[in-house]
Amino acid sequence: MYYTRAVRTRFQQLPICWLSAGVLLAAAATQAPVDATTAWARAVQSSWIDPATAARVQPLVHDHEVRVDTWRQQESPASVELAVLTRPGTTASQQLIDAARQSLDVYAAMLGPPPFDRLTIVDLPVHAGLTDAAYPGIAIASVRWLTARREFALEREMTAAIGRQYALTLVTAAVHDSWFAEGLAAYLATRAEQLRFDPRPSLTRRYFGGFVPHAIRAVTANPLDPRPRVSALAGLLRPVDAPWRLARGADLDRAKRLAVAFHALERFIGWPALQAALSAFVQGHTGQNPTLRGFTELLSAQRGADMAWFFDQAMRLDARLDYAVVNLQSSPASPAGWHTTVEVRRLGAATFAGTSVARDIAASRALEVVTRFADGNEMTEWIDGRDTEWRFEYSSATPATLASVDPEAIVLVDDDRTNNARALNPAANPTAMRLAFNWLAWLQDAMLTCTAVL
Amino acid sequence: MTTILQALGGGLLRVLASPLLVAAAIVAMLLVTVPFALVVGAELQTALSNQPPINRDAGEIDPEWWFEFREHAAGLAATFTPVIIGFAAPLGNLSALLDGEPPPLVLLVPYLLAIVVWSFLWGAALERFAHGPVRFGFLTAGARTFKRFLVISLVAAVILALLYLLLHPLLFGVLAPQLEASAAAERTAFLLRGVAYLIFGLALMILSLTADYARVAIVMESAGSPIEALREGARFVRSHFGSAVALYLLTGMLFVALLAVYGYVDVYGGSRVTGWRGIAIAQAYIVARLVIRLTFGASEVRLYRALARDPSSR
Repeated sequence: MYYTRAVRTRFQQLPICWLSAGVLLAAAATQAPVDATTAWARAVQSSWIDPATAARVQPLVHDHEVRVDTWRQQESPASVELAVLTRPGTTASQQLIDAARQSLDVYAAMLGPPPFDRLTIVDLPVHAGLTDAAYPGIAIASVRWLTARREFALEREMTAAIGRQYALTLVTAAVHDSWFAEGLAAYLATRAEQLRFDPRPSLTRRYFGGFVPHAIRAVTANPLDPRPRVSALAGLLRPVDAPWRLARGADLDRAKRLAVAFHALERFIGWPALQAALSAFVQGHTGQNPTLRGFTELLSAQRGADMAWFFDQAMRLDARLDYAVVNLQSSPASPAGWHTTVEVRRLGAATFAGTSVARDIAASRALEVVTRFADGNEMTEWIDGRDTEWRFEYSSATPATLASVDPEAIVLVDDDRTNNARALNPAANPTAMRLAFNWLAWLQDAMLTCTAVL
Repeated sequence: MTTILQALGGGLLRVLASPLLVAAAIVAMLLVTVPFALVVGAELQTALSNQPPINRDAGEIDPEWWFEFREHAAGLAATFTPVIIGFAAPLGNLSALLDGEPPPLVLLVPYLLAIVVWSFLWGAALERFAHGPVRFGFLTAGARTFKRFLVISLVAAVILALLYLLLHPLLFGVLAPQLEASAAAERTAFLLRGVAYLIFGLALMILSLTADYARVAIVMESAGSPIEALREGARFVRSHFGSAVALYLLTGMLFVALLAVYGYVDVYGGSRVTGWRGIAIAQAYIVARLVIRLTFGASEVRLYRALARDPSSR
């Protein structure tokens, strides 16, 4: 059982360590059901939580109720013991257990059995400032007082927390400063959220000091495009300076870039291929301090092709990666029809090569350029992203209406996707008009609010 | 209490009986806002034309498109956030007002324009509420007090800025966090934050009341210059604090009721962002808000008339 396990003592965490050990020994000797303080002490003992955070949490959980449950993977011996510490008088424990179990199901299907066998989930009020804190075997959550119906706040919180547990098992107490693990945790959370929620959560904003939620139901990640959402990343990386972050400053930028790069890689090689690589990496590298090189080597071995080109360029923070349609012209040609010119340019030094084969040996088919015509016809060209300029000319019965480079949004690491397409004489878009009317009403209300007391 | 209720009821009826005045306020607000909306609309038109794969007709907005648009938006377009949609708009604006979120600098121009327009509108409206259409026409009445009302609004704006610079950080940077941290439950923390909202809201209300009654004093010929009027406004609020605050709160309740109705209609009415129904609901809300704003003025004129020259009621 969870509470009778042998406990590793971490001498570097004195004096909390000795205090906790004393509490644990007393509990083990009596075999009595443990209280929250003991449960927390036990969690601290088997983690490398920083002493300051551990000391902050300890007085906050003294009156918490403890509930223990076990998650088991179907047709597998894998299991995780869940100890949930909730504030008294709430019904949050079942919610937290359900959310944790569902998240574990998703991750186990994604990445294989969890590389950890117990998890202590602590419910603390949000104003304690520790929401989303995660250390090996510890996840701190906040069951909110008010939630919107399609916010799924707790479920998303647990999804992110358990994804972080997978990433945390890769690092060690001695070396846990890892932008790779931080970026991986962010990617896993967005991926699992994508797999888990149907219908998807609505965009929810919180008002009045963050206490009052409002779900904007019109903004929903509906599966017209079934791929994971990158826009959710920013929320996962806040607060940026939290003590439980595995990367800070420039390394946190690198972590965010890695998460986006994982999404781009997934779109490029497909989810099954990336899933296989991630699963092998997570299962085989516990406590080995992950590196991008290590993951790239594993991925390359699995695919039978060197994939270093992808991360070498995608992770370049010193150079811009940007492809743009810089010119689209369609003019009447004699004796009939239209003549169309499309010009695409690489605007930064970073490239999307699509292959590790040198450019002078062979060209790759890395990026798609689609030109659409008024009669519905389309022309597709494939370009090698290492070149700098491309020019295509077409003769057609009708004029071109749109040219787009990477129309399927594979290269998410493209720094500016708004210049990836160019339209000719676009018809007035009713959606744009309606959105502008929404903005108009917002501005009117903002004016009335700001001048209400003047 | 009867005087207050009579002032409120009479004020509301007076506004409802002045459809041309309400129409003038609607037109003025549109004239001020539409040029800015055209700028934003043009940018949205370009963005959606160039990114058709994420232009959807299903009634929902793809957050990925929005995310990309915002990443590269500048100027007015940068204010095109999800908070503009439906009920989120008033909620966000009210929350920003109380939480002291500074508005984007680019919005200072429309806000200043709003102050100018309302300085004119208040002149025309209060004249009508105080004396009917007999003394001056709409334009003459607005022009007659425009400069003085503008000065009053600008003085109030300076005091408002001082409140945000001095009082707000004390309340929400020092007091509220300490109160919230002392609470065991989130609900208690919110209630304690409510104390800070109450204190700041009281300061805003006193400022608003002083400016309102200063304008009323000018229209009622109790004061000539803006400074005299502000002095008279402050004197009136001090002398009749209970009545002035009660009327303000009662009229404010109309706004709260309007918000509740809007929230309900927006959430359960099935309006969609890309449909016209949501836009019609939003504009109906703006019209109702204008009516309530005019009701503030009309009821305050009635209260001032009833109490200003009645020492027994002080």
